[in-house]
Amino acid sequence: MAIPAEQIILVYSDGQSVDIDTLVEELRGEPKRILADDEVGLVLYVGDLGIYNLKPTDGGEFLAQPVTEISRPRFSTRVLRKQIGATVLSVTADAVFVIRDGGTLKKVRAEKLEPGMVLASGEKVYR
Amino acid sequence: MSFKNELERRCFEVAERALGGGVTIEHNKIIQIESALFPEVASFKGPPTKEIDVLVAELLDRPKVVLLVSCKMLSRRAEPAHVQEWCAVVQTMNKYSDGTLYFGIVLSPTGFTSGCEAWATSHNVGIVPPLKGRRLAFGEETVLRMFERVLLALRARVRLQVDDLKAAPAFFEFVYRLVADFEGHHEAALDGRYFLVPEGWVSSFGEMYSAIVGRSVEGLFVVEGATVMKLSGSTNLRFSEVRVDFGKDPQIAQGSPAMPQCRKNIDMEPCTLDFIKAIGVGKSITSAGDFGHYVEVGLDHRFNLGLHQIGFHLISTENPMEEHRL
Repeated sequence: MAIPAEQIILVYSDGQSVDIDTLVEELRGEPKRILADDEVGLVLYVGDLGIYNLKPTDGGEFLAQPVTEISRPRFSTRVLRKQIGATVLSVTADAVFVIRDGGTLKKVRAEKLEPGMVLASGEKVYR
Repeated sequence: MSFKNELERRCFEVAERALGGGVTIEHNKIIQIESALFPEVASFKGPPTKEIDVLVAELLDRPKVVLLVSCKMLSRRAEPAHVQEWCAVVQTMNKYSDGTLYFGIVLSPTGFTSGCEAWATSHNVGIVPPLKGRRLAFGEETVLRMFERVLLALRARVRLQVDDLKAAPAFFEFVYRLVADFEGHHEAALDGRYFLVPEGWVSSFGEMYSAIVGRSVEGLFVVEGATVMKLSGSTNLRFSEVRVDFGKDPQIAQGSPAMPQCRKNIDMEPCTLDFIKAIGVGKSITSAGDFGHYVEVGLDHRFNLGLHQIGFHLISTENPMEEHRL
């Protein structure tokens, strides 16, 4: 999901938070980690650094997901504020969410996400 | 090497350019399995064999990692059956391989119907271009550029770590992350303001700021239609009102010299360029702001230096203002 850098909560395995800007600048100096650095953006491999993305859950806890790559698009994208469950997120307009549509699942972009929709995860869209 | 169509030829050229060899095209290659009693191989004909056209790209020698690419030149969007077929092929190759790890990509410049993704994610096959929740049309050039980006990144990635890509949908998501950001790139390039040079890549204020912050000013010039700030670390910034170029390109400072119009203090009194250089050169950039018709940078937390199309301004930021007039 294309969440802007400032909204991603990254921590090391010991719980210490990761300063993404500093990390990206440090890792730029290790060419083998650079998977892509072109007109679209920068993609760095971080799979061996024990970095986790903390995703807030409805219960107020955080789900830690291992991060293998950090992606930095080179150009800016329109950003929207959305409240999903208990979480208010800044997401890019092209971020894709999977919602329940009757008995099926459907993909919807953040710009088309409307209050009342329910994500596949069970979280409700409030605004 | 013979090609069935133009798309196949172009994909082959892209793969060869990206990987530098180890790329082959095989037509009517027969894949045979012992039992067809699995839903994944429903597209295999009985006797359980399958003829495929495949672009084979060797990514790594030890362990051997091979990418199998299906190039679909269709008049309409690819359907789930096309992806399902490739899922079956890649799964079969992995099942009967002798240590070689196979990944699969389906490339269809006309795009994919929504049902394709379920097959691709569950069977860990990449699709190019991506499905992003609305019907997006990418030009063939863009799709081939996506393909090249995936190949370059994948070659680097498998050298670092490959095991974590084996389990679905890790490989699908890896490919998705590499191609998803192409959306909006064309529009961004047309309306771009910040450009990284010499590459000419469309950029952002954030990247421009990261490139100049902490660097000291080494020179200030005015050329026809633009002002140029030379910074330490061979970095330059050129401001021409409608665009801001920055980077390590020495050509950026080129242009016919022009008569500078410089100002100082909050009331913008006229001054000379030499006056501004005498204060500004040697100081480090500590902040930046883009005000549209000019860009302003903070120097040593003490001065604001503005770059206009025709000259510069310099203001002391220290208080009280009256005692710190320049």
